[in-house]
Amino acid sequence: MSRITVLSPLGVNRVGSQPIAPRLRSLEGVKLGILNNSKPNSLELQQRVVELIGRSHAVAGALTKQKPSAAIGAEGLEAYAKEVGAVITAISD
Amino acid sequence: MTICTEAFVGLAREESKNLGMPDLPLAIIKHPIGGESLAVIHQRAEDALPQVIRALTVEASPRASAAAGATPVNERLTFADEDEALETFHARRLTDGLPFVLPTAERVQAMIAGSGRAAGAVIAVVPPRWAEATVENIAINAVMAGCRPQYMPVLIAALQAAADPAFGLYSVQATTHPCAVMLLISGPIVDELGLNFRHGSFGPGFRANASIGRAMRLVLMNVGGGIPGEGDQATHGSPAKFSYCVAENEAATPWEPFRVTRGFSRTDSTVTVFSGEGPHNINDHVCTSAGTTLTVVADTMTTIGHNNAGSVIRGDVLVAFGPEHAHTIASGGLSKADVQKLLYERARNKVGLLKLRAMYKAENWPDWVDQNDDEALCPIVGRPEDIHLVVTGGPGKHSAFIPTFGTSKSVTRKIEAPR
Repeated sequence: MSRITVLSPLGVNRVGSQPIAPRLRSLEGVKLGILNNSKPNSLELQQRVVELIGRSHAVAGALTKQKPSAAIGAEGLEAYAKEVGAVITAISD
Repeated sequence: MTICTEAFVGLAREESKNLGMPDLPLAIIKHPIGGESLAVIHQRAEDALPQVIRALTVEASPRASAAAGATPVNERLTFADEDEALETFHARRLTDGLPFVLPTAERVQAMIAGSGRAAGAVIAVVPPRWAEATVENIAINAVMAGCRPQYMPVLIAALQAAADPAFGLYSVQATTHPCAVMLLISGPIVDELGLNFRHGSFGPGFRANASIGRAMRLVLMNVGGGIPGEGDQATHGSPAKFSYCVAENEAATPWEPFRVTRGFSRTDSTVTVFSGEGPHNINDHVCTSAGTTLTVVADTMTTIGHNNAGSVIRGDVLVAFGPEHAHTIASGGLSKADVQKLLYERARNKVGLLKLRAMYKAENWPDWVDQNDDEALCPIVGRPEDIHLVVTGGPGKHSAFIPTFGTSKSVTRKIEAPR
């Protein structure tokens, strides 16, 4: 019986390895960013997480940036990143 | 760092890997978030807290199974026989679940030749895998779908259109919404390829429509990674995701052809991509005037469950008139622009009703809609010209309404002849 050779239909991802931001040494005095995707309850969740962090760490408040729709990329992220020490995002639903 | 529910871990991990950051930290909590009480959301936050603090303060350790950009490269696969090849493709989720044609080198070469382009030419980068769709990749999937080589220019133009940022393909692919990528073909190529535009124009029964639409879907799955439960998070999916390719019935169109409305020449052939749901029927066997028929059409469009109801200014919709309805409407002396304006004015939802669906956001409505007045009326698109009109199908008193993803604009590309 003859063997058969076919071609894989998959594509090639050519995105190279990207560094992620170094982690914080401490949360003390850090302003936290909330990047919100506008889905129902997402802001409540993120705000509650920041509030809970604030109970055990002296963070310097939070700065929220809300997208008009989950399907739209946020604008002005470079400027936003300069204003906060870390950003908490969320994905679901 | 990212908070993620259990149901979305697969997409989050795939996406971070595909964007070159496989070690991006996640805090994983129970699903869902929407529709839950504030008490439940607060519990979810409690559950996330230790993970969030760790993710923010502890360097991530490399995930052994998640090399960045680790999508398999083009490869030749050898099997003992056809049965083994077919079963392996199914087992590896390289198909849509239906029988398919094995992409042998000879068949793929013939398909590439039909494009008139180099095999390695990159046509688009397809999310959420962010993989390159080369002419060869497209040809391989076109073979699997049962295409003829002369269909390749349509597929290439369709991929180019879908990759336009205005279309928002990442979200169209990954969303929980049941949108497909619908192809609407207009122009001389409809006859040249034998695309059906009469009875059953949304299918089934015609090779060109069926295989072009299917090939598009296979590219979105195999190249783009739109695999259900992985890169495609659709709650239900849709039969429209198997194949969704429709042609304009130009001979029965009382107005200018679709492509001309979109700014192309009559001699051009075009493909337009819509992030369409499956078509919703508009049955009107009674009305004899433009006004009454359009009232039925507008009423079908006016429902709060589809995405356009809430994401008003960010999307567009399609009304596919059957020839008889189109004739009734045009006989009243209405131009396409008149019809668009009438539907824009009549297809509106009450603000108070829209608030029930929770995903409304006032910034996605026209500025002039009073969001504090529950009796105020809100259109389903931002402008009359965002209600696209086409004539397709055969005899009968039916038309169809195609809502879309809502945060996506249709894109039209000219289909270029093979070089």
